[in-house]
Amino acid sequence: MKKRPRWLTVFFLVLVLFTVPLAMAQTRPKTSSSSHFQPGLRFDYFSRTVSWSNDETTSELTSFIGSLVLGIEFRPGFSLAAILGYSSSAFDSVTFSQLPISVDFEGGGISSYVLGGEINARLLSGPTFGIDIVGQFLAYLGANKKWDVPGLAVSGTVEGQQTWMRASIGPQLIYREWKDFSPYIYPSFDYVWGTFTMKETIQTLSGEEKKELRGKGLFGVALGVNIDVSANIQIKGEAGVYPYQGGVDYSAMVKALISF
Amino acid sequence: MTILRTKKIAFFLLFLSLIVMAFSFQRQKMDRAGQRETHLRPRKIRSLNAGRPFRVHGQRYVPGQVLVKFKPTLQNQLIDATVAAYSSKKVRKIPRLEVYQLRIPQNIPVEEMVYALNQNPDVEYAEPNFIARIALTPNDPLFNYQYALLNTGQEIGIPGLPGGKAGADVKASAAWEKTKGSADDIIASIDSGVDFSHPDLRNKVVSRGRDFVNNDFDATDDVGHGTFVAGIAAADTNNNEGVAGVAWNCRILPVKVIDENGEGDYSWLVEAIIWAADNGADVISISLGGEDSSDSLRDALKYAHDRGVVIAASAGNDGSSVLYPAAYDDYCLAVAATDYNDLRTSWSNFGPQVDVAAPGENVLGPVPIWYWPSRGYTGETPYAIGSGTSASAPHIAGMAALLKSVKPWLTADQVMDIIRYTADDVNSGQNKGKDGFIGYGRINMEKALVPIKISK
Repeated sequence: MKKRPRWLTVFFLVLVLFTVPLAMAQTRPKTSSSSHFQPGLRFDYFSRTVSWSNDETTSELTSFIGSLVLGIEFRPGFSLAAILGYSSSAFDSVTFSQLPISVDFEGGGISSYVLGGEINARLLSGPTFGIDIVGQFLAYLGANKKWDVPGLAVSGTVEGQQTWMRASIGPQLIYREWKDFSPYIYPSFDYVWGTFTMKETIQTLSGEEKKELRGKGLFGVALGVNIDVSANIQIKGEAGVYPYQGGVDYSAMVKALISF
Repeated sequence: MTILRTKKIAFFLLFLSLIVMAFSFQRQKMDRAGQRETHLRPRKIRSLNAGRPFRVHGQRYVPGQVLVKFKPTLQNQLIDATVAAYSSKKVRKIPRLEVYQLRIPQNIPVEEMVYALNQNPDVEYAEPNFIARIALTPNDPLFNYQYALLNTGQEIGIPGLPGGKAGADVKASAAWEKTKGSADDIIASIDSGVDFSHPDLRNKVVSRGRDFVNNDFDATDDVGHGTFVAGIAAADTNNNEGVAGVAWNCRILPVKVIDENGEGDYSWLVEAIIWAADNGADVISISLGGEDSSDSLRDALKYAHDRGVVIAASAGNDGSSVLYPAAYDDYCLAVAATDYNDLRTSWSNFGPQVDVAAPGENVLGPVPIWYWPSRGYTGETPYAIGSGTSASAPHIAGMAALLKSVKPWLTADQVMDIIRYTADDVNSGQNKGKDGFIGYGRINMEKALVPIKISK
């Protein structure tokens, strides 16, 4: 029997969890006074130019994340959400020069689970503008992946494991004049940190190098929009830029939430 | 409703544009610098020994001498009494190993004395004081390039020979992109000494070294072989003079164990290895050897190896079994010879101890200033072309020094394994994998020193 990929299992799980509340939401009117359960789906992309401790080189971390959001809106303007997802995450061009035989890693993505949380609290609310404070945290739980070391006289492998975390916080200025369509601007401070460990095993030679991702904090700004598709369904889209000396990093996010 | 739909479409397009922009503005990847090529000016060069490599011949051991190691529990008075009981005299003691060089009566054959001593329960081992010989002697005049370091398919320069095969080299120029070595890393060249006035070596020697032949501290070369092999390992490079060494910036510690006849006894070699290890050598290059095994030689190699010293020794040029010390596989790399086409030379010794190979056919290196004039050739540049595993071993020594420069924390065993495993199996058509002819293959400095790319 052909082995079903892990991501497919996760996808089906997410689909079931998403469609059941969606069906329930279609049959129940939204009320504004009590807590709401807000499950949803979320897709993230982000890139970060990162540097490593004891290393002059920089690498680019690129991550695609698909996640299930389990949120609760305790009252209008205050919600908490847990994020459970799956990600393909890749550091390009990381040189491990402390291994017996140095390697320049360009092996692409390593897939792993992502856990996180999000908080959204309203600070100010007016008829035209509102200000929320939004914070989120994502933890990419490292999985192992092996690659052959090419070109040697003997067989050998390297095994990589990535772990990184991303936290961001900032005020979200929302324009509320348009019905069902609320654009916003989200200046934020975004911080990424983590490790990348590479083990090398080539016959009698073995070594391990752990690279610490030097904490990378950037101020950026995102433009986004909340769209109320119906009384119970909301879609949110956002794209951000994080400039730094010598370049720009990017992020994008699409989220669909159901309230019931 | 239509307005709302238009807004949604407009946002979607806006959003899509943002994402596309995000991708399109991703910073360009840096192109890797192209491989540096080192071109050497052709020089009019005479060759050493007409391309014929050195072969071990002549006496195997020093007459009237043996090396003895007594049990550690034996006190000095008892050692003296035992030596006297065999009608012998102590010549000297090799420090650290507590091995005694004894002069035995002329009328007793060395083999009989060794046998008798080994029967004594107070003796750990006894053996003849074997003779090692160098692997090159000078001969014919020729021009050439250093194909061993960078082979572009250029003519080797010897009449009648085709040009070399491009890429049949140790990939030195690519490796130099990563490191040119450090002056703190020292290659002890245990051979016939060095010409301290040679323009390609005078600024590369740590000191005037140690001379075990004359028992002083001036390892001046009176043969030529030592200057040649030291220059292959670490000649002054990028100095607008002569040849390039494998280890650009590493320095040379000359240790002389070969006399003017091209011979040296094992006791000198044993002591030289220990002296080099005790005097800062990170790598030892030995382009000589003998047919006979020796416990004291093995112990000396172990002494140096245990102190992190990487040892490269030539396998020999007789087309037969690997010489000692190269055959001591646990403690040193036995180096065979390939040519400018990446083919094993017919004369390169073979056996399971062979670890790797490096170019050893028609290799260019420096010779002492006095070398050509003393043979009646005036106006010649002090360089020569020579063949033999003597020329191969210093390539490995230079490579080991560069590895130690980049990764000083590596043990001797790790450096040896890196050199082995990164070799190119250039005879895989006939002998796939490690074999007794070129071991793991011809060394590849680029793979050992420049990070290997791990791709998707």
